[in-house]
Amino acid sequence: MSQLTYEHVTMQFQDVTALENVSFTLESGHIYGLLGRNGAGKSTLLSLSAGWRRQTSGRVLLDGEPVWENAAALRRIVCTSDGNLFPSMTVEKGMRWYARYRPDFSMDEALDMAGRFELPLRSKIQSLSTGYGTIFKMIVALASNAPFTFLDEPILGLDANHRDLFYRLVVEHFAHNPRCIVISTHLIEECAALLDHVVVLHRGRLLLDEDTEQTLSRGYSVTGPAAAVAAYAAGRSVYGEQNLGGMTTAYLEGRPEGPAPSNLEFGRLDLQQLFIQLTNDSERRGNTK
Amino acid sequence: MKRSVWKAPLAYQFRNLLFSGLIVWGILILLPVLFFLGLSLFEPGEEFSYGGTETASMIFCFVWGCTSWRDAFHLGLAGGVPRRVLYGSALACVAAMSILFAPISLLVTFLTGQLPTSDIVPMFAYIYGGKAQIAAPYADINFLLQGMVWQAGISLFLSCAGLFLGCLYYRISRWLRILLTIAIPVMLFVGVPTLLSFLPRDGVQELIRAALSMLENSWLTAGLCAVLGALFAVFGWISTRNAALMRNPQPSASAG
Repeated sequence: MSQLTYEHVTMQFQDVTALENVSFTLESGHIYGLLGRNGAGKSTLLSLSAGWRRQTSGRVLLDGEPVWENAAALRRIVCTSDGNLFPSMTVEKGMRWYARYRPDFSMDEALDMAGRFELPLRSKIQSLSTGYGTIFKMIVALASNAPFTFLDEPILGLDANHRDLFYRLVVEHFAHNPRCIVISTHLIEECAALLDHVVVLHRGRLLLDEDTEQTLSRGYSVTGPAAAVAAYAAGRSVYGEQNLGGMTTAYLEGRPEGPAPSNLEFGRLDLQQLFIQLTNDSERRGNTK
Repeated sequence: MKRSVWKAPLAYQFRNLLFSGLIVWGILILLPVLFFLGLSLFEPGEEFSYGGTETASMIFCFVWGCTSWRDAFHLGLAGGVPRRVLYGSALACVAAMSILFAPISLLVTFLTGQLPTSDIVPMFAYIYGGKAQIAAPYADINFLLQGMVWQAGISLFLSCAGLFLGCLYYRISRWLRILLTIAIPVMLFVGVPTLLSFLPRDGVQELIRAALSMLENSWLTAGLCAVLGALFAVFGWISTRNAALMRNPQPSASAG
């Protein structure tokens, strides 16, 4: 099983520390969610993974070999960027050129995906709308069939139909070629069902690195009238609360003891809410793992 | 089957060079033909002289060096190619361009010189040739070879200097780019003459004489240019080996 390992990775931009002593491992056969608020260091981590920049200290290793300037390792990692990396050319030409660079690129898969998204093949890449620009980048990344595929904000600018198609494609591609797919996104709620592992970065530090199931089993939600929820939550460890109308949902740590009281309802912990509470909590305490 | 990591970046560089080269050589052939047609129509029998082919070819080499790096670098990094391979491909391309453009330039000069009423002679013959060689520049194969080596040397120097600038400009900030753009011509046309004016007159004259005597020998000039080109190639690599991909790279308008 292939592993991409980050060992004490620190990235400093003059007086800004984008990543600080980050250590964790990505393995093939998983779909990871790389989550974090704006400026958390997600894009920097992706840049280091693809060898687009060099870390200030620490190591990024693919199966024990440094990724930096390593042709064999770089060929096994594909990453979408927030900007456009293609010269002025049409979508189809861009795909054909990319196929020359990527040994496992499947033109058939790329054209099939382009057809399903109705991506205009003869349009210039630069003239694509934000949504279609994202689709183009996502298609070339998935069609590359690289063992480590990083998708940076893959649903940016996509409408609901295209987002749905994207999720289906990721699942299809993963089933066909179970590699390591890392989805870096702000839209946690939508992607949550796809992810089997979550990595949360906060202010350049690693806040969480565990299986989604394990993360979600950290706690549960209780919904009901505000007073009843407050009474139930008293004395329990609360991640956070959400109020809507007269109803309150509290996110609690641990497992419920016994059945829910008559006026309350137990639910699963929500990944997005947990993320919000974790990062807020960490902000309040100014303390991360 | 294992594919060479060099193949795609080399193909990209050479394909772009072919595309741009065809355009520039097309224009360089078309211009004297248009001159000829214009004169034939409006001033029949008038002889015309045209000597810009070699100079245009050398300027193209410099501009190509300056502008070819960015797109190749972006596409290469997206394609998972190490910097050393991308830079090596860029160098291979500028070297091939410098060498190939010399005979092409000579051929174009020869062909356009065949137009009736034209007086087109290679620039090299004017600089290094005697009266006989200016009158019949294509009679002596050794002289032609010497001219091609001379042009290839200068083109190599210019293209490597351009590549270095292209690599440097990619890394530095917008303000530094503006500053450098102003500083280079100011330094060349104001700074150096000012500096020379402070040096002893005899020493300066000796320096200029030595430089001119070196340039009088085409082989020496070509060799010196090749050495300077190699130096710029090394500087270019120094500025590129750790270059980070720019955040949010914007679309470029180069040929693809």
